[in-house]
Amino acid sequence: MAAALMPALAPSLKIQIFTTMVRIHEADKAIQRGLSAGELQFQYYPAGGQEAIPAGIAPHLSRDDYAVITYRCIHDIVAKGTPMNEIMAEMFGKAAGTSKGKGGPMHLSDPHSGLMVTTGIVGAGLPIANGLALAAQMQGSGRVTIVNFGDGATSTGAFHEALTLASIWKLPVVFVCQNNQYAEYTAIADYTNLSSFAVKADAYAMPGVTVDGNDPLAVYAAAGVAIERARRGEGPTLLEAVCHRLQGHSFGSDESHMNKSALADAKKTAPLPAFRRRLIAEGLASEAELAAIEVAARAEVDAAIAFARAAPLPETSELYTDVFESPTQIPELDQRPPTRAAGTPVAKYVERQMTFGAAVNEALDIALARDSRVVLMGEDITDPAGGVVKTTYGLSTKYGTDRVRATPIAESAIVGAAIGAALAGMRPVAEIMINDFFEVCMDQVANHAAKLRYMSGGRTSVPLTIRTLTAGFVGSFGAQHSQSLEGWLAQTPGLKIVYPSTPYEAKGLLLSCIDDPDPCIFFEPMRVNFTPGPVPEGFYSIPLGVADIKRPGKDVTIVSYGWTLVESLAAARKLAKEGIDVEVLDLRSLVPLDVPGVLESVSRTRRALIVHSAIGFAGFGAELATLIHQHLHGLLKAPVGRVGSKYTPVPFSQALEPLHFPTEERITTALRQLVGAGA
Amino acid sequence: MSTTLRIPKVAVSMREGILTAWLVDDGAAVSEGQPIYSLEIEKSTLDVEAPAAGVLRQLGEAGTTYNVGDIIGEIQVPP
Repeated sequence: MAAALMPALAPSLKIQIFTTMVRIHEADKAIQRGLSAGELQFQYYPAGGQEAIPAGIAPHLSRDDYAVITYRCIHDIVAKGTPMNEIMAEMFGKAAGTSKGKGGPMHLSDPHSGLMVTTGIVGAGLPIANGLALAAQMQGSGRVTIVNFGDGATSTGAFHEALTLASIWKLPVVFVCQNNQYAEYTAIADYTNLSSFAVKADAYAMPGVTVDGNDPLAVYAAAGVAIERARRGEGPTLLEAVCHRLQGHSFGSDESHMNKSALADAKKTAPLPAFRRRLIAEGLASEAELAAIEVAARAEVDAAIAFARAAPLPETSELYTDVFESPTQIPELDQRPPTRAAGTPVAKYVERQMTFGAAVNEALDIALARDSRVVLMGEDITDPAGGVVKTTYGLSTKYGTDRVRATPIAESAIVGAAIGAALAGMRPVAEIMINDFFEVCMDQVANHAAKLRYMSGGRTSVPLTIRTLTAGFVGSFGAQHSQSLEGWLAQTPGLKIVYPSTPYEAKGLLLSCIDDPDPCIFFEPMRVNFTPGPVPEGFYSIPLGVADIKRPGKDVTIVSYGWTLVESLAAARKLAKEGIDVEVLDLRSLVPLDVPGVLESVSRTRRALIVHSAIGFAGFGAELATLIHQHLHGLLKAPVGRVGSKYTPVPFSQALEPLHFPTEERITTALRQLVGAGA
Repeated sequence: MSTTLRIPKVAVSMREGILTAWLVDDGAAVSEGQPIYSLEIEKSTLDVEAPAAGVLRQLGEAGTTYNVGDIIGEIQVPP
């Protein structure tokens, strides 16, 4: 329906839009009064000049529709329907805030009103919005997702990736670019030669519409077209609402980067007073009626400020809640006494053999069959390719390309879509083909997947799994396809890190990850991907955070995981012939970490060697070594040893690669030194 | 009822600021949003607006450096 053909707006709707704009204005001003008085102290990004945009969009949405917004957000939050008391309590860092005071003004969520994510990272909301829209599409819920962002966000890679994916998947999402003339402190003309952002839509084969963002009725009309299109299943729209920021970038920041005359003009034509004049001129409301709306909004906001001021602070125990669903999985809170690692060994009588990769395939097959919420997405994962090493082969044929989805080469879009789908109740399994490619989507992984549960005060969660190959020490992959980056990921609270070494573990741990309430990163070491081993049939899961003694011994404990676990077992067998009895402990997951299992093993053997394929320097082994030293210092016969990869990029030449990685020979040498030192 | 005036945090790295001048006399009436004092931080100066209407009571002295959060005045609302 063209805007011109829209029926005339009911007067009550115009008053409703005005009321929303006034409530936004009052909330924005109240926060700035608190900042001015020094009562509130944080970076605040005022919304003056942008009130008409969400106010014009809001009447098309219900609380079932999703919103993803960015850090200049008070207008979007108020318009989406978040209760004023909860908004203000969050500003004050109080327990009654939308996010229990743990998100703050840049990171609050209110899923009850459909506000799923507020991100402080420019452009990062767009890929996540796709995931919410994907869930709505797959669930047939008819929900639409609105994602708001500034003009500056159109320069980001996330913008490009998100529009690329939304287009090809025809997602029910509306990309709302609130063009306020400045990307932080930089004017549009200083960062792009384009004069319109809506034209970018052409590049993604979707409609691009420019609308006067100062006119809430124009926004209402244009948004209505885009939202109805999305609801009909016809796909996304890029809607550019042109407005003018009425103040500096953040509260208190100077305005020297702004064009003075343009700013003065914008203040004269500011959307709220302009709309007020229009309502009176059109005879839709009297001065007294509008004044009453303004008084009521001020009273609502004042009451919310008073509520927030008086509300209790979060309990100190809140520090550790909402990192994971269960705080007991936080490694530094693990106070359990040393306990023998309780890993269930693979049934001795399982005769069926399959490779590691085939076991992963079987786990995915079972997950797709038993849980309709499971959706796979990644590059090249559909048939006939079936994945770069055929791990997903056959699944798209069996379950269809709706549930097993090939994606563009766009890692941020993949992870973002998985995050959004997880937020909306799906159980996505994303594939980042090679671990090194995490480096191009770490914002989605580390700033969003990991933190959304915490930043929302536990009101949202991200039960997603990301599978990834580590291609180290298989020859010829070189510096950018061979890394093992679990140590980076372990530095980010909120991520679970799972690193199997055998086909049995691959299947059981992956099924655990998919059922887990938190984001799990699942490593698939290519060096063992084609190695067969016994795998039970049907569904079984191996709990996360439970290590397994792969080989019992009494002289020294190797703590390892992934393919170096296999090298460690080989080294142990070799040293057995020399009379050295090596215990090999397979961590299986790094987070959660089997702290009692590690301590129990080393307390028996009184010597420990950590082995991993990641770089030794600053690697996860350093954390393990410290853990062991702190708990077992008096017991140890020798300092904990570590064998990791050398501090070099992975070399290509086969003359050099074996010098970089931990080999059986390096492990045996280190073991001999350790046992000799403590003899 | 009165509103306490504390030195606001107006920049990410701000720890302190100089109250360079009062723009309204002690004891004078101010309206909400009216600039009431100048604050110098990191080589730039900004006029801080009254967060409420009422009578200004100056407690801080012009030319003095204060930490963020220090009380420098209040706005008293006549009963």
